[in-house]
Amino acid sequence: MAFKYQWKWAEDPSKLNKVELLKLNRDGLDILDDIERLAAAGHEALTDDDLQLLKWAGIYAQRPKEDGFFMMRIRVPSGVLNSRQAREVARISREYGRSLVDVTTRQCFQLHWVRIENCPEIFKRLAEVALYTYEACGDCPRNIVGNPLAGIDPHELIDTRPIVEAVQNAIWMNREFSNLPRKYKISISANIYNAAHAEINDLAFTPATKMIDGEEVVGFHVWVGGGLSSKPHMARQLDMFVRPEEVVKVAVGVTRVFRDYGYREKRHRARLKFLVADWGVEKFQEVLEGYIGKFPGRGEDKIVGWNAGYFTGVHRQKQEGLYYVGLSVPVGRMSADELEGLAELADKYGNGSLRTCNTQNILITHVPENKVEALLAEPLLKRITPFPKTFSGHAVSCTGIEFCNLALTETKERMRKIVAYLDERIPLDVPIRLHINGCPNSCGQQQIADIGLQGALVKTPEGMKEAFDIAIGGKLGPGATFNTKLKGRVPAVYVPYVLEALIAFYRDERQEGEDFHAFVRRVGVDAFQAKLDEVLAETVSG
Amino acid sequence: MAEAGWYLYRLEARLNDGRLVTVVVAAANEEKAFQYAESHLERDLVFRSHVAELSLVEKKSLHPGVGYAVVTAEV
Ligand code: HEM
Ligand code: SF4
Repeated sequence: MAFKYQWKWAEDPSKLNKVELLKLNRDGLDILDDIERLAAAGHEALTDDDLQLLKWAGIYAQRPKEDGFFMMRIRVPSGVLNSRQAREVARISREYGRSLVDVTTRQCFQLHWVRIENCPEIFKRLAEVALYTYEACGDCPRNIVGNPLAGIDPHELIDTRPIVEAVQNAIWMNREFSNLPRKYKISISANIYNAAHAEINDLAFTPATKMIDGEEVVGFHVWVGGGLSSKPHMARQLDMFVRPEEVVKVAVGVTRVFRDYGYREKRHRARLKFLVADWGVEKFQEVLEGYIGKFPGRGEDKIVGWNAGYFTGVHRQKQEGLYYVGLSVPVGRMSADELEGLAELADKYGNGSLRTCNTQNILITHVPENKVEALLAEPLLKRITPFPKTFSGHAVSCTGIEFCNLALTETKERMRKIVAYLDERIPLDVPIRLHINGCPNSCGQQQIADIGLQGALVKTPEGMKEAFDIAIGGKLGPGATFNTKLKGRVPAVYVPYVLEALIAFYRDERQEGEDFHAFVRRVGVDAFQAKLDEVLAETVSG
Repeated sequence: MAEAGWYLYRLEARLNDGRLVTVVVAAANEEKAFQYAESHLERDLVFRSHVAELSLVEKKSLHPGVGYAVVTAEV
């Protein structure tokens, strides 16, 4: 409570939106003191303001709102998890969440069907295994995404786990930062293949080196102002080299700039990206230096490519003789039994360590060479497989209409069917990443997909039907671009055939070693538009 | 305060002559949103037969200040 009413922006409340006024009166973290009371009173007694602030407790009303169920997001910083934690999430899901567990695009777990009445018990049990839902939603520092291979990665400059932990300790559950203008997403990774999607976060640290006093120092470059939603922005790099031990200082500084200068008048212009776009990076850095002092200029970027966050298969760790096994979780959804099973396997074959990925997948790590084969033979790995077919192994889906109030279409089941069809019909030797969203908000990160699908509804003589906009050619890492939307909304039933035709176009016309993104760049979006027009004319008339 | 259970919907109508029209309506559900949008189109703009495709592309919870900014023409 210490900061209540002291904020600079509180001086002129006429410039504040409704949520800002609420947050001044009652900090998001205050809701945690009310959980017992709210649980005892039950769903009926929850006010609109309670529902708003419950986001800071990591719970969000599930569709339909009147039914009193919540989705619950559990933070997993950098995706680092142990079997005890995974087992507890599985059990909670079984007891309170109808046995459903989703892995999200920011390495969290998301449960559904949770009731407010059960939250005190759930929070207590999660805390016993050091897991938290607090500030997993709301206008505050969200889960820190990171390299899921931190500490075991042959392609990382340094182990980022202690840094992620230090940043989390500095800004999470801290009333200095619990009232930000809007959600605030941090990414920290030293993986040279940009495993933590730096460009689409509000603040990102990426691997770099710099010669200082004749010595090569390993550290980070800093990016600010990225984010997706209906108006995507790529983060922009500051002219700054940061040593590992100074990451906390910079993270705290950037967060203070956002807190103090971020826009609080209109919520749709509140993300850090709007401030960065208005100021430009030079001014942003100047203001930042007012908080944290000057830093050495940029060094050498060490990101050499983009692995898109995929690690399926069996791979060597940097520790001699140890392997990690990357498993594909179809559209990020598993059952409580499956998650508990994975925890068992992590104990039996590894050292009990698991990692969640921003591609909605999961890894089992620290498997000695002589146990790999037995692990691969486990029945659970038939569905949650390290060797998925091309399309099903590269598919990401948002929550969609099953639970989301803003969705226009169903997503996960649709995607499952689409990739099953494509894997059957058009086997490919290179991955094409498909992402699907049920509305323009981009929880399923459709803008970074090779092929993104965005849901809409169209009126037909038979009533409302689901349809999708198709966008092609997204990519992060060197040459990062968001994908481009093609004209022509495709009725859902035709989506598999249309995608088959677009992918066949790539397969037949590509050059040796050319991936989908490079192909789109070479032939141009117009060539795909022509292809789409042709296919739509055929499918609609035929 | 939020109007319980109501949404502000954004729809796109593609007309036979190629124009794209944005229609914004408040409604309690998607079916209603389509109905209201159709009547607005008919009342304000064109005959039903001139609409080649009508789609609903976004919804937001209804409360004071909620709205959409839409590109109408490149200058
Ligand atoms: C108010 C409108 C919303 C907007 C603008 C929005 C936008 C986003 C965006 C841009 C991401 C991030 C992807 C990334 O940066 O990595 C995200 C994540 C996510 N959103 Fe939403 N979202 C909204 C509401 C919802 C709702 C209602 C649900 C479901 C009931 C939902 C479920 C998710 C999930 C599961 C993730 C991954 C989360 C994580 O691990 O942090 N979102 N959202
Ligand atoms: S993208 Fe839209 S439909 Fe999908 S979960 Fe996010 S808000 Fe819901």
